[in-house]
Amino acid sequence: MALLLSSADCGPDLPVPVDVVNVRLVAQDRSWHASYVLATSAGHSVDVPTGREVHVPLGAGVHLALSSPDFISSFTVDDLDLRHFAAPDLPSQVTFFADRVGRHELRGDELCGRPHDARARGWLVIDRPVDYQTWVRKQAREAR
Amino acid sequence: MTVRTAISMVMALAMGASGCRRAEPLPVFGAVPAFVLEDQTQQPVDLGDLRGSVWVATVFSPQCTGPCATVADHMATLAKDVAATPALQGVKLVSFSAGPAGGNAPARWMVLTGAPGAVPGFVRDGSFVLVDRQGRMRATVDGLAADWQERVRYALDRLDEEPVTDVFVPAAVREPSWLAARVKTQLASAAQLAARHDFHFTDRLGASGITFKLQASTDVGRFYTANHYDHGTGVAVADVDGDGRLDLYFANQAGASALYRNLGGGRFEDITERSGTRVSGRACTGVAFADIDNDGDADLYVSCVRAGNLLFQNDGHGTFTDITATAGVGGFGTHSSGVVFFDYDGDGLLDLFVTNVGKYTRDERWDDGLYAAVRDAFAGHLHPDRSETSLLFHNLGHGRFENATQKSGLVHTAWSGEATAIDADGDGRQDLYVPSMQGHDEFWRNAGGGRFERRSREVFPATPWGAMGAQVLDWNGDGRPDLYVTDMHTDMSSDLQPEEDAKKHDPKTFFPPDFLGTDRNHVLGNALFTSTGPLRFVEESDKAGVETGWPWGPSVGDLNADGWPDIFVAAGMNYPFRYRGSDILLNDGGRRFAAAEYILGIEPRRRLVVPWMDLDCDADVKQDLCTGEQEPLLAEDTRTPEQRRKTDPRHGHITAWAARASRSAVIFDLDDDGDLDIVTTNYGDLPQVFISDLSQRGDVHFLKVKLVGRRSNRDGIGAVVAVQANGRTQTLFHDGKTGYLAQGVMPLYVGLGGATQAESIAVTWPSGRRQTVRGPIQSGTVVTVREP
Repeated sequence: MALLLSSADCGPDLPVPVDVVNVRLVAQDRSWHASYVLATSAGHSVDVPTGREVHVPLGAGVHLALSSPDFISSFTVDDLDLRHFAAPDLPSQVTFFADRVGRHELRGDELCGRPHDARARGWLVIDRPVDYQTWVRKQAREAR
Repeated sequence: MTVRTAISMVMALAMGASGCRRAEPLPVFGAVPAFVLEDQTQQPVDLGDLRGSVWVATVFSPQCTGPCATVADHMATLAKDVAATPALQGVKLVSFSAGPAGGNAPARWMVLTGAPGAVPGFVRDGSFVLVDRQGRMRATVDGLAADWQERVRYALDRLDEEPVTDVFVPAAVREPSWLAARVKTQLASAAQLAARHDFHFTDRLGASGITFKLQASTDVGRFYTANHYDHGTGVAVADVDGDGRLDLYFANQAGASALYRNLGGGRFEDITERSGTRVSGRACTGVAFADIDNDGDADLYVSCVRAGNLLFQNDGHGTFTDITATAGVGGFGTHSSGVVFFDYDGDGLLDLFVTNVGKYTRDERWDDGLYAAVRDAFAGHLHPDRSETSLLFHNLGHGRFENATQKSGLVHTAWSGEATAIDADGDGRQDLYVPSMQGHDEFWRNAGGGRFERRSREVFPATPWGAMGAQVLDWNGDGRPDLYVTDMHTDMSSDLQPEEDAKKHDPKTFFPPDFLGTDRNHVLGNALFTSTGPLRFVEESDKAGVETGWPWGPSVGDLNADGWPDIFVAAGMNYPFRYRGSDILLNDGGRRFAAAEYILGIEPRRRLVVPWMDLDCDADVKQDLCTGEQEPLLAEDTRTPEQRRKTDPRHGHITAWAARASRSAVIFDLDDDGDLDIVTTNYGDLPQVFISDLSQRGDVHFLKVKLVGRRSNRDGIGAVVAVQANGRTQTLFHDGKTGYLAQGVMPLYVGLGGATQAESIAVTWPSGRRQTVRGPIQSGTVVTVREP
């Protein structure tokens, strides 16, 4: 389910607990571009970019929609044993359960390409729900 | 403007300006012509070696008198000046000599010589020519002038003041810390190495007269994109003119191919033009010599990417005619690669199998005329619409072929750059093992009657996922055909670390499962399929010690002539990867293999890096070296992408350097001295011409066996040769395969170890006939076995 944004002025009104989080993660120009689709109470959806950081709340099921318009990108979070990839015309989805709080490195190597594990690095952060809500509000505010 | 005019202008300028406080920059009057020579230590030196350095050139000769001797004395003085002057530390001194100089020159003073005609003539006797960091002639100084020293110093100072070309050499390439340790370890292991290893290879490229350079495509060479162009090209061998010496053909990618005639003594002459085999303007890959018309000479087939493959018919004297159109083997604008001549229907004519990789290019072309690659080329196997069916051509005789792909049932659509013939079931018919570089390898059993059946998973349930090359050999001496398959793409699944590159990959570090597109039942690296009977193989790569890093293809030959086949694996990646050299695997009596590339002098190369691309950062703004993303190779770099982005963009001229790396190789007795030498191709680079000194170190016992088929194809491709000597039988499978992307026509080399004679040679011909040549056959004999 999408997160609900209660009004344009007061920040998102988050249903608690959040049980599913959908994040779009695009590998482009050798970098990660994460975004959240937040639905406003007025029925609009707002695309909130969050750069190379993905935050999810503890206890949520997470769907990461991976895509890569320009090269073959692997998606690896060693800590969580996640390994996937996306390539042009080959989007994919990574699903996992956020079961421990922590900040995990997210790597995105170009498969069969240059070795650059320091290049396209991002962070997958599993927050306590309260911290997550704070973070989402901040992102939504900054996105406006 | 002639050089001479330019020289006088520069002299005038240099003299006129010498008193000025603020001097004009020295003019540029041309680029130094490319050369490939060797120095006084017999190390190859080419123009690229001097890139990034200011250097002073003179001419020299073995009988150096007059101006030559004066300038030679001055060079010795200059060498001392350079050594003693901090500001001149990087300056190199180079003398071009018509013959070997002998003696020891100071460290900074290279005396370069090479094959006749190879020494460039841009320096006049008695002069100094000063060359800048980009290889441009910038000044000349009369070496006989009283103030020569002052003038040279003046010009050197001017060149030194010039903004330094930003020569970019990633640290992990320039000074690989792991390499010294590895060399030391291997050298220490030599004491325990049972296989003979008391000999050495020396790269005599500089003396060979070979100046061929494998030109990388714009895609890989300039805008590094990951695609199949970087798989390079093959080198093949055959005696094209019937003079008894084995000649070399190099396929090329963005440059022209080259045919070199072997003159003997390790020297070659370029006969590309007069032989009619020049191919350019298309990216070629595979190359094969084979006698397609059974007239006793080696014809030539070259496979290329999209622009069509080519078949050249030999007139027996080394002059070739392009018969592609009438032969009907041009392909269909596909991404062709591996070339295998074999007689699948037993009619005595060599048929042709050409692997097509798959569509990895788009319709736009770069300035080099080659099709631009797609950005996600290595995901091609996940797009069924990008696959291409490989081609089986049935030889009809008289230089004509028919496309038998569909009729034969050999409809191979995997992403394959190579294939090799093998009689895996012992029925006398040639089957095909076709490595897949992005998926499961395929095995096509020859069912007879011109039909093939796919028996891949049944016979080889687990294969490498990223297989590149394959070679048949009897490695354990049991008379059965074993199969060595090298896996490059599995090694691309992560940032391959030096300490891990000869290990199988842990599945956790392997590709994301869905990327494989298979049932995931793989050998995670090289495979050595040891035959235990018809259609039965056991995978023994780890047990036998043949896992290697970044391998392209294997070549097999008895390098130490001990009667056991050894393996050379051409290996390594170029920009922007770290250095990783080739491998030699010495066969320890059929028990296992031992790495010996450092022991035998194959590695490490004297120079690990070469200039790879020149960038104008004010124009090539999209290049990450220009935009401020720098040093892509530094795995230890812990900066975040945000921090990395803070690097200021670069401007002006940058020369980016890259690790050297091989692709194809051929093992043969290049100089007819009774031991096996090795020639490689290197991507974006010059070849290596490794000359073995095994025969110079004492008695080497060997036979060379040349097959002449009569009912069978004339080359005898598909024959099995069993040599009885030393109380055992050696079995060689004469498939013509000489290395990655290549097939050739040459005698079988049979090492006899300690035996001075062989007792017999038994040949099982493709026709089914068996023939035994009874001995004793003395070592050193070239035995021609003619099919009855």
